[in-house]
Amino acid sequence: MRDLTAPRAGDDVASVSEALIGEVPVGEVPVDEGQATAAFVQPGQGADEEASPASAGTWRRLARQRGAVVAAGWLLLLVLAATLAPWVTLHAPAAQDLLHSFGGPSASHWLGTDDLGRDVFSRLVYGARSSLQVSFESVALALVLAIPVGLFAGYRGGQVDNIVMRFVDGGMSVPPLVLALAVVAALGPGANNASLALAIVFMPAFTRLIRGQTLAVKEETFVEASRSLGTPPVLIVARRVFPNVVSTIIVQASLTLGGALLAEAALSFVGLGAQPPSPSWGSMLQQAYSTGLFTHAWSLVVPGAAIAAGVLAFNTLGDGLAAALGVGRPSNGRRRRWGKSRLSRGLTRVDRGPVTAPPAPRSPDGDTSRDTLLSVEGLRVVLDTSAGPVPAVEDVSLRIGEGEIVALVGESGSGKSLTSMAIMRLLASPPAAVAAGQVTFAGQDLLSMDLGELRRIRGRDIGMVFQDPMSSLNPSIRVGEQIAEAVRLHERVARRTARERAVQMLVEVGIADPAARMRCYPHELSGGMRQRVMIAMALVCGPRLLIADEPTTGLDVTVQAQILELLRRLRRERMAVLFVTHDLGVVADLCDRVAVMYAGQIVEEAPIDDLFARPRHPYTEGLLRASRSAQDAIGESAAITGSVPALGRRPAGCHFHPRCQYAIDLCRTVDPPLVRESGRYERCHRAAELTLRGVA
Amino acid sequence: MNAPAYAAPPAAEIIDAQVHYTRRGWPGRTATVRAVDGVSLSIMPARTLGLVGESGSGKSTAARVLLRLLEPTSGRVLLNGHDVTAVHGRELRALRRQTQMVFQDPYSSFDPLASLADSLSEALRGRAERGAERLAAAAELMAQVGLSPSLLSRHPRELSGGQLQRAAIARALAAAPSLVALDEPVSSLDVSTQAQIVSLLHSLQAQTGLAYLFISHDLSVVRRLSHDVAVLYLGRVVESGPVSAVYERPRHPYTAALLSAVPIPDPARQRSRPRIVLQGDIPSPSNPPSGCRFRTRCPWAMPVCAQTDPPATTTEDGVTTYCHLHSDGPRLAGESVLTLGDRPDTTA
Repeated sequence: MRDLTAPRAGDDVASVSEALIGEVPVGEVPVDEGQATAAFVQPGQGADEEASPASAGTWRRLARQRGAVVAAGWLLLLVLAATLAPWVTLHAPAAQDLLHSFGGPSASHWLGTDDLGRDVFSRLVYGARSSLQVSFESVALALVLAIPVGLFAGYRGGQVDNIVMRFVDGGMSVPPLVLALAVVAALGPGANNASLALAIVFMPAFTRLIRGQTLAVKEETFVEASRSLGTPPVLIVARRVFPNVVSTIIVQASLTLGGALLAEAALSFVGLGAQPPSPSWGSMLQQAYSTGLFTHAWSLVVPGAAIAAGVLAFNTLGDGLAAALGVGRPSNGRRRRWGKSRLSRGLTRVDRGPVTAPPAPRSPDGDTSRDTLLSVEGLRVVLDTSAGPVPAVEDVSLRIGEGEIVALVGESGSGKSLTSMAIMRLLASPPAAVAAGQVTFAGQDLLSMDLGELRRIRGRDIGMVFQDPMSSLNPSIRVGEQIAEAVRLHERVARRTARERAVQMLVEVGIADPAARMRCYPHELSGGMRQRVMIAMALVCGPRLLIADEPTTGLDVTVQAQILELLRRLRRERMAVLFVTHDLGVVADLCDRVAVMYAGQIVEEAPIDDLFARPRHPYTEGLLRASRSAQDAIGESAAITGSVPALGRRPAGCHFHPRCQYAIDLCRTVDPPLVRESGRYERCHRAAELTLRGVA
Repeated sequence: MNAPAYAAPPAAEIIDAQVHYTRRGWPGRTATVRAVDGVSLSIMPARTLGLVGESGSGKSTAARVLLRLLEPTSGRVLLNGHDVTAVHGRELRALRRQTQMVFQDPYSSFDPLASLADSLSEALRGRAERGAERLAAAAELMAQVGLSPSLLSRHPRELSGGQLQRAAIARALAAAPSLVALDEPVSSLDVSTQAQIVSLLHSLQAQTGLAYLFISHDLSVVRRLSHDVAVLYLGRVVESGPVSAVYERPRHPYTAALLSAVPIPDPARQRSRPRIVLQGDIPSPSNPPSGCRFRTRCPWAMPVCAQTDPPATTTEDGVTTYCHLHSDGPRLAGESVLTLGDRPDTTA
């Protein structure tokens, strides 16, 4: 649901609704919450998509996996047949007919008969009873023991955890089958004892898994919130930790059931499981093995196939559950971030969709100054949603000259990140596709360019810094090597030279002791350092253009100051920057020109001083006032009310009119054209007549 | 903090708190990390103390000590005048409700699988027993923070960051605390949302007389909400006092650097401001510099800074600074660092 929007917590389209909320009397909520939350609907993915284990979304995702559905169906059939055995079989499983031993399949004996003339089909069905029973019993028993122990050890930690884990290690260091054999040998053969033995075998792995998950969940902020509320530990574990561990347990249980089926068969095969005359798959296999191995291979195939199919079904179901429940993916707390990473995963999956005919060059400006480095003309990005294709970025045009720093600002959901990714063709397609427009970099058309050629430009001529550095760095390679690799990818230099350049770059982004940091893996660095490593990587080839999406968000102000200083210096060396941000302070500090985006359009563009001193679009005025009231000691109420319109629900006329205090009838019906006047543009019907307030 | 003299004791106070971790390694390589090294803070009812510093300065650790979420290695914690350093177990759990926390990322501070109603009624344990009562109280809290009670059935991911941060504030209020620690409560939000959350916090304090501990590395937001401010560097307070005095006349070079690092949204003013860009990172707290801890990054470092801990200098406007510039030299003697015209290491 929150997908297309940002990884930053508040960076989402609905947050503007706050502007309104704060101004009304307590208790009244003017915003349409439905709209606020439905603001950005991820294509083909509903709100319930990332929901709790029991939610409808999980079932739907599971149902989408054919393998898992077939597996579940097969297992259901097995359980039904086993439960209803007397009604689905024609013969008693132990009824002997020595005259027809080793009979082939027939109308009466669907799968033939065994060495004693017993019906193989009914033995198979009755055998499923004991095989499945032992599997389910053993896993259930193991869970009953492992869940409390694992939760306790994980949550309590310390010495308790240490002791429990040594027992677990001990249990896991004995070969499982040997352990099971030993237990059964001690307790005596039989189905119940086999269950107990297998439970003991499975318990250590379950305990370890649950304890590990508990350790991870325990570190989540919401557990600390519960602690500070004075919630007793028992309740925290039961209500907060356990539910967040359940999905992992379910998946592991399903996978272990397959192992249990196999282990039961092994125990029965050696005569320690279900005792004759009651059949089980393992004992059928053993009987067939000892009496008909060479003469009647068929009798081996039937129980063998049953075992194989059962195990396969459990494993497939387990994998399906893992995918449906999101196990093995980032933790619950982070799941909401899939959205953005989904889009930026386009780092490998590149939008190859054909771009519709380049639009008629709009160029009303005639501003074709020779040193234009990047020009974007009429860019239109469409997102494929369940409600059909929806325009997310509409008619965006932008120019960046050499050595120029242009800011792209706007609230979350305005389409600024989509625009910056579209320029580099980094949108994941589907759902996003460039539907129209032209992107020209140093005279080359980026959108129609061959991918190999584009790759040479990316990183060498155009550096990129995106949010969320952890997902953009390779976790298993030392950061120094990753930076040096970036150099060697584009230039034929010696490994050593590349490394020296990497060290130099780390110094420039303000990392102390760069030689030591070079040897670190990404996870060993703080978030601020990782961000700076990303910036170093983007800058190490000396690009002519840097596209930076919130590069300093989340950094300490002191580090941010270092980065801004570095960018200022590189500008003097003619590097241009497209700086995507929501921080107008940073814009004021660094940029030459500002483009303000709202609801997928650039609504105003102007040189920095003009924009701040004399905004010409009401939205810009509102943004300026909001950022001032957030910073200054003066308690000024924010100017913008309402919320950013949902994707696909953008109003007719000027998209901003429902929130604009200056709106007139014309604004409600007619889309304002982009008007150019003395080096600045705006998209507002009343720009000429209004006098808006800038910063004094 | 020279707050005006109140008859009431401070809502919360820590005295000379230290938090040391031992990082075990091979023999001889065991390091002691001094995350907080002798910090004293005190917050009066209905007042806000801003706690600022870079990441690694120990501000979150100090806050967790104050909230009794973390055991200090030494030092004392007082809540409403009572020494609670030695309280443990069930009593401690009851005590913790007196201090609440609002975290930076509202999404990770709520159980993703629990509805808001569930999270809020957990916070209402002990205040209202029956389910219906709790639900009514939860609805009331939602209204208090400007959210519709109809959102109670929603799960965290179904709300915007701003809405969820309001819910986090509601949850903190549910425990009827006397102090709420706000750990970067707005730094992950959009600008317009930030302003709204700040004014919500403002009006809540006016209504209820709550004390706030406002933790942030962004000094501009701190100024909007705080009465007093304490600047932390490597586990020590380097400067503290009334917010206007500290902001207008920073006595410590670190405070001055932090202030100059926050760009203001006005290009003309921003360009003319002096910039003090600190080089490098905050050093490791396992091996802090001798003498003044800031000296390795200080543009005005003197030989004496490496030798002795800087003494406290208190000025008549209530600011206490730990810096040799005021006692040795002696160049400043209580004047603002900004009066030093000839900054050796700055770019204009």
